[in-house]
Amino acid sequence: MLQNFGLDLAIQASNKPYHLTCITTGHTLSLEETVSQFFGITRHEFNMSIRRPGMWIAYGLLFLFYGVAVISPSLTGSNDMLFGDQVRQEAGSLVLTLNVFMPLLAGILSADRIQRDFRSGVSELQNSTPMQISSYILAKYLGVLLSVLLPMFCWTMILGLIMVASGQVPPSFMGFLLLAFLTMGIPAHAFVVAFSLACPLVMPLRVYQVLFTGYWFWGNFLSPAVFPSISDTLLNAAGIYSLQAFFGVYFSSPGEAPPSLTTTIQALLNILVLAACISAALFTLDRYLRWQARRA
Amino acid sequence: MKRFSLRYSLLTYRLDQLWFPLAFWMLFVIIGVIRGPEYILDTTRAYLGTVVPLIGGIMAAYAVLDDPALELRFATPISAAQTLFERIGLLFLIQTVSALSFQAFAFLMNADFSMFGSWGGVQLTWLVPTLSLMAIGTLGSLSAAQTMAGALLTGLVWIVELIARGWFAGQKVGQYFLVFMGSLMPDHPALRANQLTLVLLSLAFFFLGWRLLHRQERFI
Repeated sequence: MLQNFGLDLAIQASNKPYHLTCITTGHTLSLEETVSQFFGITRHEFNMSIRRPGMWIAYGLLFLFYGVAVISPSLTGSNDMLFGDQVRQEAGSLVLTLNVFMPLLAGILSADRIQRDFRSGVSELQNSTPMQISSYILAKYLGVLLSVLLPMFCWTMILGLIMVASGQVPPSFMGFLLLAFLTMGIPAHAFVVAFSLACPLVMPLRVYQVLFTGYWFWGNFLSPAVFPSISDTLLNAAGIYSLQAFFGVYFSSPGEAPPSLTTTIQALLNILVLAACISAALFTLDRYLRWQARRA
Repeated sequence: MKRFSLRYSLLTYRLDQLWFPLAFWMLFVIIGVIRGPEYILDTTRAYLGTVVPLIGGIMAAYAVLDDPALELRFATPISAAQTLFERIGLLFLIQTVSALSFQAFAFLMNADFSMFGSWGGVQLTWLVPTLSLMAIGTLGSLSAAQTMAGALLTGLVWIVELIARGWFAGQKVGQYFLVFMGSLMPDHPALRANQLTLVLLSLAFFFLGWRLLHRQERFI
């Protein structure tokens, strides 16, 4: 997997099963050491990222907002329990509603995670250690991603449990909710975190945050009929394709022609396109950090 | 450097605060030209009402605290008000130039601003949201002693209000806090009360930010 990200690692045959040699520093690490390093950085990054009070305050405020807006039975127009396809649709709609704001928070919060290593001078120390740049990037990515997915997962499940407890939906709702989280929540977060780690290295953090906030609305929720946008293409990261294909939810205004049906293939393609963009962002980041290390 | 020095301010100015709004200005000019005079009013409303305030708000979150010489600055007898005025004032000036020059461009493209009423009404469409988001960004970063918090707060308010604007406009209390009402709903009956509320709130936020800036030990 590490080699797939274009890493300058050479796997050498020796007494041990594998040796990974970092070409930039010349240090040789066994596979066990590399794996240990990877999980060490992931754990450390996750712990650092998750312990920011500002992050929990922001997610707490959003949770209050959703608690009032999403759970309110008046929004569904009825206090009756949902059944059949309605349950599946409700699960998809709930995760899409969360996806409107949660990935935005995740993107802004992730934006300084690698940049701060450069700003604080930690990257110079890191370059002097036998740490593989590729391990560093992947571990940082995984650590940050897990840290922003944790509140999203908790909020999704808590909101689901409240809806079940209040009798709005049957317990099977939780299964659909988990499926929606996997197909809509994770791809959206994985996409924004990859770009939020990479982009602030080549532009000022504030510039990235303005661009990212604008992009999230423009590229995912703004209708191309109103303003030129990529929201109706496979680059949409908000989970609209999965919502339509897997959960059967379509939005159209009264009087508007019903939208064409999204197929499962299109939804899977959407996820594949996002995965390709993530790989490209991480690959570019890897190349950039290598270039920086050579210049140092 | 007790007095305000424009030369010093310009020398120590972060250039991205200048080129970034300019880049967005040019992007919207290109979009305006491509879409043509038919859509110039929509393009202008989008730029003045949403883009200028977002740039101003997030830039304001970084304006005071994102300074490598902040501790040195605190060691000089520069007052908190002067610091705030220098950093936020220049930023605001850039947004003002951007907004006015874009209006001139839109005017050349035959945009009809009559839906906003007078010339003053047009200015309020960008002035009120820009001031509001700049105040939120400044207060957010100063209260948390972290630039990221101000940027986060600004971004969150921007997208929540933009997406839920219909909900805000329909609420008895929420209608007074919708920062985009001037540009997106110029015929709303509560528009003037909304603008007055937001301006007063912005002034209160700047005042709180100024008070926080007195406690320099929080930022060291």
